[in-house]
Amino acid sequence: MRRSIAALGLGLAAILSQPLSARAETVLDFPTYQLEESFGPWWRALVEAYGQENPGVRIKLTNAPSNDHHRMLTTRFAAGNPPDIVHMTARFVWGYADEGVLEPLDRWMDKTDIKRSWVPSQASLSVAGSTYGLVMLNYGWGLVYNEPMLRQAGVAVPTTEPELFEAARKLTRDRDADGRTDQFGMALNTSSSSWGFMTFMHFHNGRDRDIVEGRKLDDVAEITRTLARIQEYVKAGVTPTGLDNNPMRQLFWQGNAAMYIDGSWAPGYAKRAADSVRDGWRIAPLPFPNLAGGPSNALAMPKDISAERKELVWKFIQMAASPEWQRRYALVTGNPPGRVGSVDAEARAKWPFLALFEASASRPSRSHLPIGFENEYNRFSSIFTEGMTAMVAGRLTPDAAARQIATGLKREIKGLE
Amino acid sequence: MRRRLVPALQAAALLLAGLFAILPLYWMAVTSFSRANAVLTWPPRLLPDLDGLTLDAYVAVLTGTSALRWLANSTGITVASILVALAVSVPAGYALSRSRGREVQMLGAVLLISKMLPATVLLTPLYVLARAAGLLDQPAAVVLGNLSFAVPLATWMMKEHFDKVPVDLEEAAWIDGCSRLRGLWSVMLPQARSAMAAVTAYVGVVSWNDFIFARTLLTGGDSTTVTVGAAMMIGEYNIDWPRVMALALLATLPVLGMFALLHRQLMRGMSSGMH
Amino acid sequence: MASLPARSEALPRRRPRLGRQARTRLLLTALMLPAILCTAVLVAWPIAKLVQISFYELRLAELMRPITKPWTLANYTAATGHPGFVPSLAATAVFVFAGTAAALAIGLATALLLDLKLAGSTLFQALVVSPWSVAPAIASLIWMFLLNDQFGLVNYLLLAAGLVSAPVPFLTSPDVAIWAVTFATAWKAYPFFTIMMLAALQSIPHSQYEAAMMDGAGRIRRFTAITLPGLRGFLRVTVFLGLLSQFRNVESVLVMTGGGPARSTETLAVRVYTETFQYLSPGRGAALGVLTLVVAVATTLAFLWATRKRADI
Repeated sequence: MRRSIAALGLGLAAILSQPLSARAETVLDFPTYQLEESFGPWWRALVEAYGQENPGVRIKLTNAPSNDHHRMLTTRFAAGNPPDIVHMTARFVWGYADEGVLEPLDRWMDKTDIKRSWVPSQASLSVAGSTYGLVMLNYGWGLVYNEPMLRQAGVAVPTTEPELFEAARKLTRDRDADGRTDQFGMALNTSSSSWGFMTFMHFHNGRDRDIVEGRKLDDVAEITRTLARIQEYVKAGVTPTGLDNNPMRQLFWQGNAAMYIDGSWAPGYAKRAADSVRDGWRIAPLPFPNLAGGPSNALAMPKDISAERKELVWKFIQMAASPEWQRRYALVTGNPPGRVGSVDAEARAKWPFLALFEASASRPSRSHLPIGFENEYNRFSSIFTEGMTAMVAGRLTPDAAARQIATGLKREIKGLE
Repeated sequence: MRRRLVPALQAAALLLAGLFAILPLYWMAVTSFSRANAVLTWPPRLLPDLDGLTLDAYVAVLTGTSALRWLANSTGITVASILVALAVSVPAGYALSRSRGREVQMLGAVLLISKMLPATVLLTPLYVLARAAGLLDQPAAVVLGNLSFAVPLATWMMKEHFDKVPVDLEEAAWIDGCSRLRGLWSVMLPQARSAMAAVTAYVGVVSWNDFIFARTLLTGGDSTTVTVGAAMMIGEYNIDWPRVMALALLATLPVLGMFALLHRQLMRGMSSGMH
Repeated sequence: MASLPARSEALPRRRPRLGRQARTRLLLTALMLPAILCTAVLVAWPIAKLVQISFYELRLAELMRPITKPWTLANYTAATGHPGFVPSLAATAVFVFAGTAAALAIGLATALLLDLKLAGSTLFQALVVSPWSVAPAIASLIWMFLLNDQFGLVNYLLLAAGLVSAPVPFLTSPDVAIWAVTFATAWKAYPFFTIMMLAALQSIPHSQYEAAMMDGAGRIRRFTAITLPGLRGFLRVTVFLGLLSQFRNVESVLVMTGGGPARSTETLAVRVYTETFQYLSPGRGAALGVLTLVVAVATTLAFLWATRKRADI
């Protein structure tokens, strides 16, 4: 008995004491949600190259699914225990900057050409004259569609929103005639993740409207109009209800939906698609006159780390921003990088839709963010999707949902009119 | 007629009850041995296609994720929680059972409070505490969280046990010249084996099953536990259900084993404080 | 401890009566000390801290610093004035009461069946109580898959049986989700009732049934006259423990729906979490936490008072 307790204790000590790699090595902690996606190889290569250029410094790259990643970032910032290299969805930058947990990058950035050479949305990451992140990717959107499905139904690629709706209707089918829809015309996320809000913004920005202008919320009548349009897609049964982001993508890439809206990273999912989709997917420009624009994700630096570490982190950010690694970004990931003009002929040849996303990312666009209230993004998107989900479930009319959203936003967010 | 009908109905009902219990577990197991695309088909296949069964999901989970590390973390946290809970609760349970003061009622009240406190209520303060103690992202922080529930409960279980051990037994030892402490060690402790097993089983299951403390006090990645790791796989693009279910099965097997071994002791823990 | 200093070697083996009681008290207190310390640090202090936080409007990052702001009731008014507050009380009631009721019903039924000791009862007993060994978070994952509206087994069975005409969006409809989550937790919770009820059934002396049979009492009469009264004491304790455990449960909701869709599955305990860690208002979360505590204590006292005869827990 006593011996087994001792054995247990020893085993325990072995597990609980972190493996002491007490070599004179600096380890930079770098969690990201992009390792599983098409961006993974680029990040891995960058981290390895950094390690070779900086002996004695090792970057510990770990993967976390997007939702968990941002929840974890929040708690780690709050605890003053942030990762050294912060990679996040750009819409969180303002909130963290507001909490005072990010380090302004200007004293380093101003010595480089970054501010001059970057996509315009880089400027939006400045709050009160300080820059809190480096835009890795600007949103470029496309309509991802299943070409054989469209051909079979005799539907042309939609170029306007009414055409999109009609196409979705025609493409919704019961393939095996068991009385149950098994091919949806469109996969729309109307669920309560922050991407439900993004769906709203595709349609709202698409109608050439911003949700907040001059600290004033858009008219309830206009919000109602956008919600009512989304409701028509749901009512017509062209999309399943309550889809979150991942199930939405899964539905398309498993061959059970004909169209969905996604960003420039969409081609990366083709690898794991069902056989029938792997050769049949195509991407067209979004059939909206205006797009939901803005930065997608960014690199940032935490305030609560030592000055030496900050220098090392900046070295990493600078390396990521270098023309060579930006060129590789386009080539390896197929996404238009932040540094303007980094897409070369090789990348274009490898990624047939890269030009389309490049064009999309540089098209004049509205913002998917509540301008002036970016730091309140979480409450904003949550109140929005709450109303929208209730509407989709048939609990609220579009008008009632819009009013509930407007009231909720004005109650919870100070300064919003 | 009725005489034959009633037993038949009873047997059918029992069968149904068994099915209800086992079907979700069966489905977890079958899914974990299937290919990713096979589980997304309609209609679902109740009886698996035997040729289609594969260990792919297990290989992918064990080699492609930090699952082994998560299992090790869960094990470490569970063992530590058990050891500390025992070390604290055995002496305290003994002392309480031999005291006549108000502390017994106090313990009853504390136990009751800790039994109805959702972990989320303690979470923010424990988070502040762990941060102040430099334990954030350390397994020890989760052990503390588990102990907030386990210590009052285990102490009560030990007290109830010692209440049943007659004082004469100890007194005999004192007369032989043992100190009270020594009496506790050499006479009472061997008596308490079954209660200690109950505490072990109960605290073990509660700690292994913890989700909320590990999710908040650890930073994910390598440092988290298997329950959180499994739930994290839901956040991935393309939820790979066979992998999720493979990890779920791996996370369940140890408890299932413990359950089979310590069935009776667990029941005792349940009735005195159920999680 | 210091109960036997070396000097006492010379004294007779029996200890002096004087001071023995004091020494005993000292020893007992010393033995209790670690447990007292644990509960003070891990239960009492957190509750006190929670109450403190609930009176300040803090950002998450400010939790770690000394509080310099003035105290306020704003968190309480914001938390209770929020239009989602009353719905969340309703969700809590469904989750706790319907969940316990379902678990009790299934548990009692299975206990009665097992008590018949039909052939294979031992095997069935092991099967029937096996859900208990599944962690709540893991059980939630399994049920997420079972309840999926695209390829879930439950929808398939319902459609095949002709009970529904279209797949039910169990976890994505704000009207259905709370019931779906509640039912899934009942699956995990019922074995506890099975075991407790089975123990209770087996404690009823067989002679009582035999006597009743001789009096010509039928099956139903025997159940209402002997079985139910025999179960009453156990039922009270079991239901009480079941309610407490269900009230504490947050994993099921957090894993299956994260409180959604449209915050329709946010029980009080879950709301404490989302307000703190998702909307970054620890003050509001703490205020909800204090309210949760009040609700729990009030319900417990009410329950103990209503069943005060043998409140032996």
